[in-house]
Amino acid sequence: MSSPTAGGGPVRDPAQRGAVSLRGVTKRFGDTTAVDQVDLDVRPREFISLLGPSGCGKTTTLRMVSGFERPDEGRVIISGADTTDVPPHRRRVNTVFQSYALFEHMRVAENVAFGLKVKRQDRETISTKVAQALDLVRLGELAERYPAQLSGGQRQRVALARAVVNQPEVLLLDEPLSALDLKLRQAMRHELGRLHTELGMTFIFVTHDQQEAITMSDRIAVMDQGRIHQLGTPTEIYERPASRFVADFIGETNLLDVTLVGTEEGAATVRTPSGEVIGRVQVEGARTGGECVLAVRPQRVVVVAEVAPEPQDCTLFGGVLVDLLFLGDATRATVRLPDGSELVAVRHNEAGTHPFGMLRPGDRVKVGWLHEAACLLDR
Amino acid sequence: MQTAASQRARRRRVAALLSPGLGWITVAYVVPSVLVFIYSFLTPKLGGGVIWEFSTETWQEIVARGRRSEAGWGTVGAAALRGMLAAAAAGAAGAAIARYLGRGGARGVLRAAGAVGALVGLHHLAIAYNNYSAVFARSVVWSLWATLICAALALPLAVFISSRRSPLARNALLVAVMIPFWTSMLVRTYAIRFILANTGPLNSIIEGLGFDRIAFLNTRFSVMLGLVYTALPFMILPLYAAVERSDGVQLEAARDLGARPPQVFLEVFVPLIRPGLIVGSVMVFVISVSQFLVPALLGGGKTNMIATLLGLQFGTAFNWPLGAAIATLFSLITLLSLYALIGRKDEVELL
Repeated sequence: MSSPTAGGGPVRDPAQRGAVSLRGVTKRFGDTTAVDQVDLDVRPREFISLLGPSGCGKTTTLRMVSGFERPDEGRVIISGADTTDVPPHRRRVNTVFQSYALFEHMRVAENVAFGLKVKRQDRETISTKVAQALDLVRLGELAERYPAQLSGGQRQRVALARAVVNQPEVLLLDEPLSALDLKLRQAMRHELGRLHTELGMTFIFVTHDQQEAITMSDRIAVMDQGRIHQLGTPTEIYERPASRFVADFIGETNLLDVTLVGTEEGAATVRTPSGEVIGRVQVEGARTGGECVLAVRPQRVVVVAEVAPEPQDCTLFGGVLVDLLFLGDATRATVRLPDGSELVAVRHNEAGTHPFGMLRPGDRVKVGWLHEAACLLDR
Repeated sequence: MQTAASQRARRRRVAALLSPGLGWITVAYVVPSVLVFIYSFLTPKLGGGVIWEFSTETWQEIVARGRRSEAGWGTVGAAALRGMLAAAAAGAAGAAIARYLGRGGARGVLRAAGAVGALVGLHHLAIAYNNYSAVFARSVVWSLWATLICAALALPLAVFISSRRSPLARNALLVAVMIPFWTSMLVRTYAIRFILANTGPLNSIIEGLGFDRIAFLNTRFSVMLGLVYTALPFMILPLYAAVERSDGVQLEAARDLGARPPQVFLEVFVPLIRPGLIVGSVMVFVISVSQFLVPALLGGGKTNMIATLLGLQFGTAFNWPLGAAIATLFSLITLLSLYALIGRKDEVELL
């Protein structure tokens, strides 16, 4: 019987190099199901993010790709070969760990050389590759330091260099930025994007930070309770969330409980609890009726004075402005509707003008949104 | 800024805090050590004690006399040959391991092989030289063996204990390791003696199975068993602490980078728990090399170790200066062995 080839043997189909497929993968820990029947196809050289709150199963999914967990059901296919039963050290996959897990008793260069050394590459090859990897993460001059002598950002770069020096087909990143401070995190986002372009390998990036996922990924898989709720480009996920969970988790969203009255030509008419009827709401798929949720991004919510003329393509209804919050680069307005629910609007602050005109908390206002801005989701 | 006066006050406080401990060490260790050194140059008094009369007789006895008849240049040659053979064997084994692990480290292998060879050569030389050097060599080498065996036995136990999920199970196991401390060493050693005796339970079982009785007692086996048994907890506890403190993700990282399990163990796990290994080795070695009860009760006088020889001089033979000289040499050899075991300065800091 031939052993699976993902351990370093020839890849059967070069076009499949770097592709990862999960087929009905399930992992249970005792009574809890960490990952539940997940199907996922990662394309070669793609930057894909697994995004979700802690405990959603994203790290477990990653560990099944790296080989540290064996799925109870389903198959893991890497570069076209079934890798489910291949131990971690024989997979052409490398991980950047959340805590970096640098070898504290080795110098930076020895850390980076480790993967090549255990594979018994010759000394010249090792030193060339290590130098290249350290240059790639701009750490060349720190090669002789010990990890304890490095800053958090530098340790992170060592972890990256140590993984990519092995030229894995897939690079797994387990929340690699979460231990860094804000400034460094933003810098490392660009750095990771640059590395992904330069290295041309598949990146699977696990994060709970939607901002990271949105700015870096080709595609995002939003996970919750062991399942993938939506898989799509950052724009799709942001503009067209497929479920209430996705809409709520990605960015800030206004969610209104509504009743579906009718649909025609892909647009729906719904009724709010306080009785307003809103027409031409975007609908994904066919819904016949019943209780739904209406999702609108705060950036798309319009707030105008009660006396202002009604804009086109926009349904407005009455409310009271209860709060104005200055956020620095933007201002956030909260409007209370007659039924007690609240809508949030966010406007960027332009120099010299107030984003919500002369409105003050306590004013009666009209609030609404452009028709195509709202979408209807299952409750 | 600190003024000179406040600095002086601070120094006084530090001195006040240190003085009870330092005083204790002075009275209980430094003064007796000096006294013992002086005694070794006095004349033995019949029935114990010393006559205050300077004499180098004792040191001559230990260093120059008491020589075994067969010791000669042949013995030296044989010892050197054995040392070289041991060095070659250790070097070959080390090189094979290094090659399997895929790393250079030629200097490290050579150094380790040289150390093994020197140890083996010295050991044989000492055994052949005279009765005193033979006892010293035996004590050191047996203690090294006990250290190795303890490390090999304790490591899986430490990993097992620390891998228990529930704190209750972990604590129960740790207490189980420490339970022997609650009983007197003397009682426990007699218990082992009883178990191993020719008419003891172990031999009854062996006879019941249809085999001949085995003379366990008063052999190297029984002494080594006693040494390892006594010192084992002192290896388990520091190793457990080291395993507990170590960053397990580093082991995963090594696997992730392609290291096979033996490589993960030697290249990442052992360095991770190295502080615990050093502390445990020092404790086991010191406890074993100064063992009195085990060689006395389980070795039956045939296999003297340093402490039993010492006891003999002060007790039965009533030659206090000889005992004092042995004690002085003993301290010296323990210090040297510890230095060889711990070695460089950065590792002393780990303690």
